[in-house]
Amino acid sequence: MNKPLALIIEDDFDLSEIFSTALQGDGFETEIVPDGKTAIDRLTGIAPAVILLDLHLPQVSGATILEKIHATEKLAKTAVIITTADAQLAVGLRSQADLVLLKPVSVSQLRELAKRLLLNWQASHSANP
Amino acid sequence: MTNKRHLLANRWMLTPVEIIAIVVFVVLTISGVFVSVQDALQLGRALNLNLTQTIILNQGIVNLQREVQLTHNEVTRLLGRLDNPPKPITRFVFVKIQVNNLSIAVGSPTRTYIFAKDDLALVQEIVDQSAVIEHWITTWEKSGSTTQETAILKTMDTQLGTMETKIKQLVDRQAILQREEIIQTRDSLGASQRTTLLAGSVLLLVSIALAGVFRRTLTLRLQQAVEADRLKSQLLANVSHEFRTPINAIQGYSQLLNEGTYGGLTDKQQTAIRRILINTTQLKGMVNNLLDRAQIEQGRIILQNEPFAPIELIETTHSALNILAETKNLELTSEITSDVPARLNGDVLRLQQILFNLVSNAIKFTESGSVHMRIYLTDQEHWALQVTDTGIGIPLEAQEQVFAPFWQIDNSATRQYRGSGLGLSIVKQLADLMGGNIDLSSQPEKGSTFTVIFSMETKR
Repeated sequence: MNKPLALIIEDDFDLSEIFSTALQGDGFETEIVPDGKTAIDRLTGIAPAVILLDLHLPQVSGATILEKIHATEKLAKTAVIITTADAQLAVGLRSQADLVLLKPVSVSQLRELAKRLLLNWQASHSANP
Repeated sequence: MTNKRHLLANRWMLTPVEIIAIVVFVVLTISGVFVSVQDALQLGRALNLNLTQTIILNQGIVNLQREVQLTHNEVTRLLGRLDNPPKPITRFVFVKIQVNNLSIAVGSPTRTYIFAKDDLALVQEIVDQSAVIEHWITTWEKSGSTTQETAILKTMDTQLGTMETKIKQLVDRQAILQREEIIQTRDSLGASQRTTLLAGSVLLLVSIALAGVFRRTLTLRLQQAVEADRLKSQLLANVSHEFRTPINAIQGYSQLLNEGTYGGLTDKQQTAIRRILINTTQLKGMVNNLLDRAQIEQGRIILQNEPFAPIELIETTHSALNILAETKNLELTSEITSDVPARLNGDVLRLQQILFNLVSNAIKFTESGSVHMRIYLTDQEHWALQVTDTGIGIPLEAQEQVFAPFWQIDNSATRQYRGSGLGLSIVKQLADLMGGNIDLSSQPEKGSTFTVIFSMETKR
């Protein structure tokens, strides 16, 4: 079975590396996108299993990317996880995501989550091959 | 610290106030208002006054002299001749004096008052109030940090305000008495009573004037300190994100290394990375507390009110702090009683911080045994977050102070138990913001229990 793809939309280099490494350790393929514009471009071509989305991004905001995700049919099954330190902003957007992780996100928190997502993904892929 | 010393301790070192006072003094002397500088200085020394106080005393003598038609020399000599010269009770009140069974004497900057005995209680209150202020001045002189100093100055300012109000009250009550009556009473006194009255009047006058001068100086210092504190808080609140980001990165990489995500480590490498993690966790806790204090002071904390799972609180705190507990061979245990609903309402991040601070504080001050976290219902409307340890405990007399910022049992504790001394004060501030109540019960050498009780309908 192929590894599921996690798209990490995050402008902080260190944070995206940490997210990426943690998810890879748990069986994900990862791709890092450091700004909003690249994210919009990239989302037309791929259908990741998980998107980790930072809300404060250069060029195009996280909220716009959320709209794009919801408008794209092939991303309907993608688990969208907002990662932000801005609790207020997160509350406003929580209905548009599967999960909101308030930064700082600990590695153990992330790995727990990755394990659950992976199980979900495997279950849905074996049910609908 | 230096300025305080100038103002209050080093009797003959000059503050700006004193320099101005000297200039006024010299001008008044030249213009003949003061008859004898020598007499005034001698009297000041005899009464253990500093230069400012001496000058104020002189002004009082000049006023009194006008009032009772005695010469300056006669007044100073009267005071000097007393077998039992009045001793300072505090820095502000030198004497409270009972003239006879019916009257007490008080001087004001412009006249001598004789009060009915009924007012004795009020005079006593002023004396008591000044004793409280005296206590705070001593604390102020010993205070180390600007923040501590600001807190003390604020308290002192309030106390001085109360004292001023009482003095004004005393004077106002007198204002309704007929002046003739006062003079009659005064004239009917015997010679020794008159002397005592004079001494008491002059010295109370000094205390009233001193309170005024001190308060003005204090107000200025307070304004400066408050402004400095505000700027510091603003800076911290502004750079908050910049502080947290690198610490989170260090913690993230360390966790990945520790979990072997980048490959296996040798024992020595594993030990080193654990030490990095432990220290980063401590640093992060301290930085978070400093930044949150700044944000609370700036009024920038906006509470959320969202449903959360109580288990989240326990799990997050456990995963962050277990490494610290393990290092000291302490057991970190937890319990959620069965009556607690699966979802509670509140600001989960702030609640996590309360629990984090209580638990890290408990770990810090516990050398053996355990730290226990508990979430339970106190009644139908309230739930509680409780942390119990088997640590050094807090003596009863110190229990009220533990929630004050930067406080630790003693200063040596700061070195022994690293930390900013901010954790519990943040707990208190956050709990207050959320409308919660903190309860502390503790026995030295046995341990402490901190309980924070919240309403089920958390305040927004």
